[in-house]
Amino acid sequence: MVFRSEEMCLAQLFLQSGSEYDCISELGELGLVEFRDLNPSVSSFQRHFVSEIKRCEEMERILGYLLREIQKAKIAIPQEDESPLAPPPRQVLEIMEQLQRLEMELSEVAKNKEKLQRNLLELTEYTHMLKITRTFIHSRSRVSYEEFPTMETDSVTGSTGMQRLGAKLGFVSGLIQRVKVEAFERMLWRVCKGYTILSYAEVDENLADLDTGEISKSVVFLISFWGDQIGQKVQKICDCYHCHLYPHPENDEERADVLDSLRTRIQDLNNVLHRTEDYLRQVLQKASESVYTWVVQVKKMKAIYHILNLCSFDVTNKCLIAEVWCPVSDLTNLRGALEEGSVSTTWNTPSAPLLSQGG
Amino acid sequence: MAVCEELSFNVDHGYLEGLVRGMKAGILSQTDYHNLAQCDTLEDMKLHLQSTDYGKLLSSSEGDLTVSLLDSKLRENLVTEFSCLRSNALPPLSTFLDYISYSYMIDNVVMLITGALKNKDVSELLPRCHPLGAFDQMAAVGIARTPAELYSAILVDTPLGQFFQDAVSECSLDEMEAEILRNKLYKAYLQSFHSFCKSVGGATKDVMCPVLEFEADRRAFIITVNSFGTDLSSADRSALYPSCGKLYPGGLKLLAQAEDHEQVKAVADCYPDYKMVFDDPEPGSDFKTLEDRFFEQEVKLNILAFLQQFHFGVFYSYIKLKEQESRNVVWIAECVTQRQKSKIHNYIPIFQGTS
Repeated sequence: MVFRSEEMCLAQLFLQSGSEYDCISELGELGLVEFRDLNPSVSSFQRHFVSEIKRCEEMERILGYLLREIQKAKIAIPQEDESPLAPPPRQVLEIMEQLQRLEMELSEVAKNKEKLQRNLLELTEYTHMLKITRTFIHSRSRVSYEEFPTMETDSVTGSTGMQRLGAKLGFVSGLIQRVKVEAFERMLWRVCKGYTILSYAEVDENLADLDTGEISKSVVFLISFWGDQIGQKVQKICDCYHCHLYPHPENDEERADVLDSLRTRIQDLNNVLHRTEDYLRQVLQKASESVYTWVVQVKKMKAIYHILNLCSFDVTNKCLIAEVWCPVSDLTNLRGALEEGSVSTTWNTPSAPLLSQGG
Repeated sequence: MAVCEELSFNVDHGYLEGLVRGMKAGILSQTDYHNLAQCDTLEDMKLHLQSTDYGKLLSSSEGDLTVSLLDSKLRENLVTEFSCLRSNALPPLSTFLDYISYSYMIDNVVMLITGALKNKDVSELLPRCHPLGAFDQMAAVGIARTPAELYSAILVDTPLGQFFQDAVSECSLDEMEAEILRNKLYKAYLQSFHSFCKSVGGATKDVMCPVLEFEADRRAFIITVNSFGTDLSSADRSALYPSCGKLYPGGLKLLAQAEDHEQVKAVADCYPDYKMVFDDPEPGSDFKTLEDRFFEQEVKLNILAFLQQFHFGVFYSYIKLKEQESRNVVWIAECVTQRQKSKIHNYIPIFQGTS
């Protein structure tokens, strides 16, 4: 334990160019010294070890992505008691490769899964829409409006009274979020000046909105309008409120056909989706076993390179000079750490790292 | 209440003022700009920005780092900060912050209208809108054919509806009309903002009113200078000048009659603040455009806001200074990518001599 009144000394370390990484790693594990910045006038992107730091950051970015995905899948990350040491530079390339491979695989699988989910949502919404608009049409034909002629459908041609008059009757149907329905209705009324009829009903199931991840109530609506221009305006308003539009079937038989085909497609999609989710989980599970180690290793590596950036490079002796503050009583530990660091490198260093003490 | 603001301000707004002052301390300093100007690539700039308040802004982005990505990330950052302030604000600060966002809404509306005139798809235009000015009915703006329709069908429920008194007209929207609409809306907005600040009183009034008056006069000058050579008659022009500035009423009348740059300069000479802007540059210094000089003047006024406490002006000034900083960083990034280092120092420094 170091007291505030502990006697400190300023020491100069000469680190051989092969073993500086390991020496700093040993010093880091012991947590003994504070390094002084010997290059204060150099900006951060002009320092010596900038490319290594960029590599560490790239790895950190991939690890961040991995962690997010693992947390999303609610897999627990096993935390170890001992923190792993910083990896030697030659192991770094291996780790980098593994991480890059994992990232590619994961992003592909995640993309596929999202596509499938979107597809499933569309089909589900379409099914709901068909079922609910059926009730609109059938209930409407029983009620007769005073302003418009009764909409008896001619069973052969499927055209109504208005169509026979020459005015083109168009339908736009789809889904919109519950919170936006009132504003939507108001804008439709104002822009189209009453040439549209809007009927809507809520969907029982709570559907998830894929862009935001929220689960919200949706409403199925059916707009019937007369005229092409009104049709274009209706389209634009629907775009404005981010409605999901689906084609409206002409008659009941077509509706039944589409419903059937949708049902089979939804079943198939569900199967594929389950299999994809299982595979994704497998990949993430495997990654989660080593993710903790990697995170700590990369952090330590980055810290070592930051410290190495603080040292000045002596070209004549081919070594790195570092100035550190160290408690006087810990000097032997410091010397020991430096020896450890130089021993662990397999290079044949001519002499051990030097330590010269200042005042 | 103008009296004893110090006693009651912190109850509702103290936390947010503290937050804004903290964020202001993170505005890039001269050393930061100096370092950024020395970068050779955008990657270097990204590395340097990590040591500033921006932190990991650019790190998590995948794909190539381009100037437009940088621009959109900086803008996103500003929008996050603004939303944080706005969602925690109580009246009257919430009304004040809403006023700040209305100017972006006006710009968005006009951009969507001009885009619709060129038959561009709404989905293409929406990402280019400024996020601070986003509102629900924005995407439907392209449907309107005349300003009257725009108001009655689409914008009547939005906050912009209150600025439409002068702007409702039946002429169909074309490019010229869209610009006139922008200026009319902006005039109504500035005047409304000015009277709001006056009604709040106290230090807010003392700080904000000069800033808004400068903005009004600046718009009058820019409208005049830009209208040389177009069909805009002087009567039309004078309808677009905001009346809450120092130039009202005498200067505005003279400006309406000005026909060339010299006459505008003559009008500016009567007002010591604007005389500097229109002065010829000293021999040997860099040429600056009129817009740049107005920006410089604006930065000076905005810095003054931080000298007083317990008022809303700090929020407005912070947003404007942060925008200027984004413009500076993007300018430097452009110079770096195009290797035109000669002009790299043409940014407008914000805090000189202070850290």
